Amino acid sequence: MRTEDDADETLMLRYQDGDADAFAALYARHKGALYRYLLRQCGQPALAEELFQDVWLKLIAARTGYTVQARFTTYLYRLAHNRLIDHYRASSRGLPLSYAEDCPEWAEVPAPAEMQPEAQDDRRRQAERLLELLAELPEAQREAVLLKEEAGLSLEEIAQATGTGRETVKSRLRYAMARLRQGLRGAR
Amino acid sequence: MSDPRDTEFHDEDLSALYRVTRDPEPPAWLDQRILTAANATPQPVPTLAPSPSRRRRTRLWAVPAALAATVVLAVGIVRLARESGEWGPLPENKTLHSTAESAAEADATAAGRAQFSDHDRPSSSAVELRPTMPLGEAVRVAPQSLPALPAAAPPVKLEQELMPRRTAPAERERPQDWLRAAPTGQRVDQDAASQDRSDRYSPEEWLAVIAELRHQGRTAEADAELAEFRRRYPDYPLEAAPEPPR
Repeated sequence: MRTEDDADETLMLRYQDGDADAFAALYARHKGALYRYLLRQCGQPALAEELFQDVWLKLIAARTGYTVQARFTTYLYRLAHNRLIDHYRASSRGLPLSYAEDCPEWAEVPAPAEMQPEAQDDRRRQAERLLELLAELPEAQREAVLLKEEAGLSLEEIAQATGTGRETVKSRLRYAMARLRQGLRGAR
Repeated sequence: MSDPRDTEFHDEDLSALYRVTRDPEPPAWLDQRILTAANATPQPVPTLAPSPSRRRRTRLWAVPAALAATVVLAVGIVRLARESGEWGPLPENKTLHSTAESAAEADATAAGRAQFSDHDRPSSSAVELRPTMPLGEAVRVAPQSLPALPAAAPPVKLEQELMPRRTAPAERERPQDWLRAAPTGQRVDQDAASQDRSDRYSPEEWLAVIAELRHQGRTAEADAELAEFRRRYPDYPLEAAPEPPR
């Protein structure tokens, strides 16, 4: 039985039936993106590893009740988003304000600092700057970008994964992309 | 990103630049831990219980099978009841007799059977239904119990059910019919009649007829029938049989 070409949902259903190879294939497909999503959201590798492990263990525990109601990716990142929100709530900072649908903080994000001219041609450096810009984004905006870039989710799927409305996701992405472009233009 | 409206929020340069940064991966020990956890979860154990589809199929067959079984049982009961005479056609001269007379005949028949069945079937005869009544007394008291006969009819019915029959009653003349057909004082051709009766009736039924004749005051006929009975069945035990008055 081939697992490489199977859809995520098929693999999850096979794992539900006890096929450990199906889970291994699923894990290999999504581990990097999910790890980066968590790492860039929390900014600390140790914390990202803990959250990453929690998300997968939650998926393992929930396998018996899994039904195909959406893309598996949306389901997985819904678990990850909820784990992140739990983390935010448990932390001393509490839930970031940017997760409020009407968030005044979005307009107050400072413009990114100018980059060093000698690094502007180095694509690798640009990428690093992108990550810095990304890290400066409010969590909700950053999450929307990560879900779009790492998980490949559409607006509706991001809304589904984060439990918000489509218009909210559009607003978050619009602000995020504008700031990233602005920061990168200034760096060039 | 299949939604065309998503292009408003998609920057290919940004995406390409972001892809350059895709190097962090979870550490190997974390991979191993998660895969071990996934393998350690209990695997579904195949059970002997029927699958949902099989259960559904069973449920689909349950109602028709129950209905078919009910129909088969009902038909069987009806056929058995008809063969045992319970639902057989009434004799043509049945309406000429009163209910009391019919009940008396049934009671007398039952009493007559009870006398002999006492030897054969101590556990299932009609005697058991009325244990305090002497065998001979049962025949004599039958006419006096006529007013209460509707209530006494069920023991007869029960006794008929318990009594094995040699031939199907639908093919035989019932003793009651023969008694009605022979008016009081009329002489019956004994040879032909006795031959006929021995062919048609069981010994118990014949003795019931004799008892009924005696109750109707047709003592001579009863004696003649009893003599004929003894001639036909010399070895039949008659200790409790109705003897002619001495």
